[in-house]
Amino acid sequence: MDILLIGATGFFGPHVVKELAPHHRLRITDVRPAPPEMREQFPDHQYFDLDVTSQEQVMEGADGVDAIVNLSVVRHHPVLAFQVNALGCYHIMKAAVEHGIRRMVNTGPHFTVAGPSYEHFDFRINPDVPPQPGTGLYPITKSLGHEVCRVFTEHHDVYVQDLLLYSLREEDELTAGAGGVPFVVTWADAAQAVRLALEIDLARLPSKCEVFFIFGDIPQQRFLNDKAKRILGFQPEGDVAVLWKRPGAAEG
Amino acid sequence: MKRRTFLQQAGVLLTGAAAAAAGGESRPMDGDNSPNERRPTVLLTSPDSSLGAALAVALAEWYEVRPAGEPLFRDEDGTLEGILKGVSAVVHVARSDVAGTGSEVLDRRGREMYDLLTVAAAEGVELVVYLSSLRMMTGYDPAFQVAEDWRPVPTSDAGQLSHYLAECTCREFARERRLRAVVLRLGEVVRGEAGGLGPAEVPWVHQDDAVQAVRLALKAHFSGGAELRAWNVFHVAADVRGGRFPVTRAKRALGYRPRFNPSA
Repeated sequence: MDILLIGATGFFGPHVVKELAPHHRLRITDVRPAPPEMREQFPDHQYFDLDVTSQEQVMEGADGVDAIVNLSVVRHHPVLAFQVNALGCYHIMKAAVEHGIRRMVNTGPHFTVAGPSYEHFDFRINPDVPPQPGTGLYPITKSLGHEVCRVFTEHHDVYVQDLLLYSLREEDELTAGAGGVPFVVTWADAAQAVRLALEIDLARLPSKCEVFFIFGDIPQQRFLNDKAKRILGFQPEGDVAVLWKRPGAAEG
Repeated sequence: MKRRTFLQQAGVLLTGAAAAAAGGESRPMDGDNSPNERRPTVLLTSPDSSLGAALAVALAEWYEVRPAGEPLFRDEDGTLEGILKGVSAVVHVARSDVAGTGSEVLDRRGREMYDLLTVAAAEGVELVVYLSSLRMMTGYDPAFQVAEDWRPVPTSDAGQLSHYLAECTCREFARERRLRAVVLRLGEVVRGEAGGLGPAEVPWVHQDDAVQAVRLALKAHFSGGAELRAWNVFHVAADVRGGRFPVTRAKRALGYRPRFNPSA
């Protein structure tokens, strides 16, 4: 499969490239040039600069691919957060429709749909709740981007899978008792989810726009990751539950 | 609900100029001001549009109208903060003739809505009246009568999408009780004589009736807001018996009585 990766040289991108490179032909793009070590490690793929805030660049970069993966994000800048997180989705969906690309994998934080009005109150929150991102710049711009994607799927022959992640860790950062937000996944497991979303038969998706919570198996039951397991076949391997184990209990 | 009660529930604490502009306890507006009472200040966007100009004239009878040209983006100089200082309500017209590509329309309308609400909430503005579009509801089978509690179904057209995203943004601010939001989904705004306005596939509203709806929304808020919640959506169009988009809710809650209706 030919895949356009947008925002591929940030924190998450290299993990996704590592997961996909053996199986697919990649166009690895970002506003910044890919680092030399990435180019050396994965020389058989295309690299070029692409700014998701430019409709022209996205349109050109998407020509001829089978799928688009959007890893781009800006969290705090008042202008770029909107132009990357929300407007970027519009550019991608326009390009997908124009080029007949049927598969788009989007990414964002869990509060794209489950903001404070859920997270501060409820348990067993699933990814199909009506979006309530709250008013924070990062959550609301990601949520608007998600809405743009959803609207496009309702009017065009294109499928969007929105993978929502929050806290990403290396395996060796999973320290017993460290705690944290109960929405943790290892980089490798998160990258696995992207591959699964790219490889799933579109006919197996319940609808043309699906949201998945991507995190490891954690004990709190604040959120649920069972949908990703059931539909995508997501099998998190990182033992993130150790973050909440009592000292001495982790070894047991 | 008394305004103070609403604000207490909303967690909005008015201080300084905003409190002075709001005038303290609830009181009837729209024709019942004593000369000594300070009138609430209403920020009006797109004052140079046809609808904006009509609103500026009509609202000036009851409010201190502060016109503000667009785009209204935050900047490092605090321009938007200055524009909103002392304002009690914002009427955001979101003009329909925004020029540019779909991308530019989305960027402007979406970002402007967020910036406006963020600063408005911080400055103690109580109410935003957003003039949206009924077009995002026209995707339903014309056999249905579509009310405000139906899910919006915008197309991927940037015009519809931008109104929809602006509504989503308003809704989150209202959900967090940072201010009250009234969305008036207008039909296509027309001008002219009543006799020449026939039935249309896309709903329409006469500009004078759109102005009436805005005035009534402000009145409902400033007279205590008993008929309003934190988040309110009203369809505003001509009153068509058996029409696709009944205006029943606006009639009941706001007292909306459109004067221009289809002749047939």
